[in-house]
Amino acid sequence: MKKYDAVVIGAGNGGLVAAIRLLQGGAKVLLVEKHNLPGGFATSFRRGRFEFEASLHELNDFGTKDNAGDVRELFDSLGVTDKIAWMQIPEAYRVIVRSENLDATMPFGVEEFIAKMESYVPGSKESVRKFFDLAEEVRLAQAYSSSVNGKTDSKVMVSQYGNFVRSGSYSVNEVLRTLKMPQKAIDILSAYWCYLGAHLEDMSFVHYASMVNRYIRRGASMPKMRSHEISLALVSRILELGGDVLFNTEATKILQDEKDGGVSGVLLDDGTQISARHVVANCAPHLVYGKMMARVPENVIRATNARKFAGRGFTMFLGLNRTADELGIENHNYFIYDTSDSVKQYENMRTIKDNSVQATVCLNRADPDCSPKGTCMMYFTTLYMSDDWGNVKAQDYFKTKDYVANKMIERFERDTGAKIKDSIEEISVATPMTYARYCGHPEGVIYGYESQYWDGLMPRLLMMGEDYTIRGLRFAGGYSMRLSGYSSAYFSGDISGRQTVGDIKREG
Amino acid sequence: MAYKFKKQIFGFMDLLRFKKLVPNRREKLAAGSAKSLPVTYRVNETAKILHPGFQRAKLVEVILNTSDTKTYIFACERPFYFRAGQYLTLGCKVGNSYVSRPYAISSAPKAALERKVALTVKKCGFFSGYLFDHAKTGDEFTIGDPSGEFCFEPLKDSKNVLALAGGSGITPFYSMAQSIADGTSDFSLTILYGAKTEEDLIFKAELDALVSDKIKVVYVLSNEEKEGYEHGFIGEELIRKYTSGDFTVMMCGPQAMYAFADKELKAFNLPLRRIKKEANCVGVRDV
Ligand SMILES: Cc1cc2nc3c(=O)[nH]c(=O)nc-3n(C[C@H](O)[C@H](O)[C@H](O)COP(=O)(O)OP(=O)(O)OC[C@H]3O[C@@H](n4cnc5c(N)ncnc54)[C@H](O)[C@@H]3O)c2cc1C
Repeated sequence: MKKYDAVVIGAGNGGLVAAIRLLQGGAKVLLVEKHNLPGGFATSFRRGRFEFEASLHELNDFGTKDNAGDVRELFDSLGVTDKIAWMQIPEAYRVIVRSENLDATMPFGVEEFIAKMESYVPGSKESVRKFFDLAEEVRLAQAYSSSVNGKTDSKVMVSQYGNFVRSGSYSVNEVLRTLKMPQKAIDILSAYWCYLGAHLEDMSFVHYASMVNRYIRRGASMPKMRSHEISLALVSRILELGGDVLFNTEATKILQDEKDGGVSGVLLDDGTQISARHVVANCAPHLVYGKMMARVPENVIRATNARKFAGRGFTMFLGLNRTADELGIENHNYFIYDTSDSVKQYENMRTIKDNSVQATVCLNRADPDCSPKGTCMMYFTTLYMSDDWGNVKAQDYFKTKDYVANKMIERFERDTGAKIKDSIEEISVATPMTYARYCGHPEGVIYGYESQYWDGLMPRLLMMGEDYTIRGLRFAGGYSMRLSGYSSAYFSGDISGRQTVGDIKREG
Repeated sequence: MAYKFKKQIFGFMDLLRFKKLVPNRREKLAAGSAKSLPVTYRVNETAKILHPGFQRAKLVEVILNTSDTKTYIFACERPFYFRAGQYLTLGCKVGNSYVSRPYAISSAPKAALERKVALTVKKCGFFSGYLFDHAKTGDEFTIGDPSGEFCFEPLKDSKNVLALAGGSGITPFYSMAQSIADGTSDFSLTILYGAKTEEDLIFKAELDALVSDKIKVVYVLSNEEKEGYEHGFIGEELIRKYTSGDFTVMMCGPQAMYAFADKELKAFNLPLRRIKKEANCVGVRDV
């Protein structure tokens, strides 16, 4: 039987980073991926003369050489930064809520952002600045917490990061109201909420502030050759470090030790048994405990059942046979909502019929040459906050897909004034069924477990130790302690990879 | 930092709340149901119908369409679904090796939900020759995922589709015509179907039976002049005769037909988005 120190199941963002960390820690590692490509969502695909990005709108917390974000520092230490050609996204976002006459385009850079906000909402300056100060303290507190591996000294926390601790248990809206931010400024500042997928009465301030602060302070990035370029760089690094990688291979079971119930190996879909005492699973605990393990302790089943799936994904990709200028697509990144009341909006996003939210990107606005001369390409994403796609029968599938795609196009045209319908040369649509098949996620979920108040970023980080319940089994990716998103998935791979190195060392 | 965040009257109350985050989550996790976790989910099950992966299929009927073309009807292991115009790979053991080839599906999407699928194959290469000469009912095969983008795309294509079919290239259009007739698809399909002689036409009777206000079939014979048939090759003049206004061209047939059609279509100045070609599943293959 082949023997490894650790098996990483899944070559998504989390799994790839975990594998590198394990190798850097001296472990013998096998990475298995059921696809023929690495990256999970982080990939690209071709239709006609267009190379589409499969998921990444913008990478958070990467920054530039002289304004480096945490992801860049992570990539530096993984040894992959220079394997990738990076570019910067030109502006933060344009948010449109037509029913409320809201249409604001926001820049990167804290000062620029505050000034622009002041021009839209006179009198907002002070509260928005407080927001960024508070958010920066959140970042520093998090950095302190990771530097001591989550074992924070409460005296240090209270004395140095008092604002963080005092705001850390509140929702986004609770904090923004406390800052006396004018409602319209709250509405503009809230635009990113659909990236995290929980409404702002429920989502913790710390989680949201942490993301917004990093976007605005460091700008957003994108690899020139789509996210696939990152995934390839990570795999090539794994191979350089001597890791073994099996594509087209699904891990079907995690084998358990007779005595302690901990990990003893992994069964692959071709029947091969791998012996290993450590697994980093880059997939949902729901899948691991639902079908991959024979003996799951009751407390683990209860804890898994208690959690709530975050949004199920839907994306439309368009290759257009005119330029963005010709079509009137002015911006890189649009958030289009029905209402800026995120609670109401979240409710609408439960059903196929009522959901018409979109987060839309025109990649040419970041990289004019990303598609052939005279063309441009766009992708439109939305989330479903319930399992409504579960009600769609196979025979109604294509019609339902077209219905939603059409609604997205009409919405975009109506709200931005751009005209795209007559210029579609290529169209491709990914639904929850696509995501369910592609990455195996339950219900086509693309954001892991929802960032609801009780299960938000802070409590997950604070409970990292006690969430490790089965010896040798750790998780990376969107379902784990850093929640979803590219940077979060990379960080969770970093954390679980390093922790597993520690576990291996302790075993001697 | 000068600014001190405080939500409650006393800052320590905010601190206490923070301290509760962990016990609160602990409690919630413990209160989860003890029922075993689901093994699968509805969306994931539907995904399996849309992307069935490899499955076994038993040949249940063979129909001789013309002297060199047969339709093979299979009963599959699992229900699946596809878009009219797609193809799938068919494979089996021939001698000591496993051989597989892609073929366009000639049956309607609805039939696949009943686990039935038909492939129409002209004898012209190694595997198609094997099928033609040896395949018989009861034989076991493997079929793969329905694939390809050679389908009517309602958000992009004109509601009027002009199909240019050559020889066994009629196959995907026959599937499309059935899917229009049974209400699965909604567009107007005009098929210009080229063959050498009347004898070489596959599905003539079936197509004639499907003709409606949405489906029109024009047969174009190159080697025969007959009443009720156009004569010659499918070129500019015929295309003009059977189209008006905006239309999408979909072509499926041998390479020579594409080369000729491309030349003839120049006169219409169609943008790239209005022309689709199936490249995978028909035409002569000598492997
Ligand atoms: C349309 C879309 C847009 C997005 N936009 C952004 C954005 O702009 N910015 C951002 O930060 N985030 C974005 N995200 C979210 C981001 O893509 C995800 O949070 C992140 O990629 C999740 O990474 P992961 O590590 O969880 O891995 P996943 O991508 O979920 O990959 C898991 C991998 O594991 C494999 N696997 C699972 N089970 C097994 C098994 N048993 N055996 C073998 N292999 C297995 C799967 O095949 C897959 O390759 C977007 C997501 C989508 C879908």
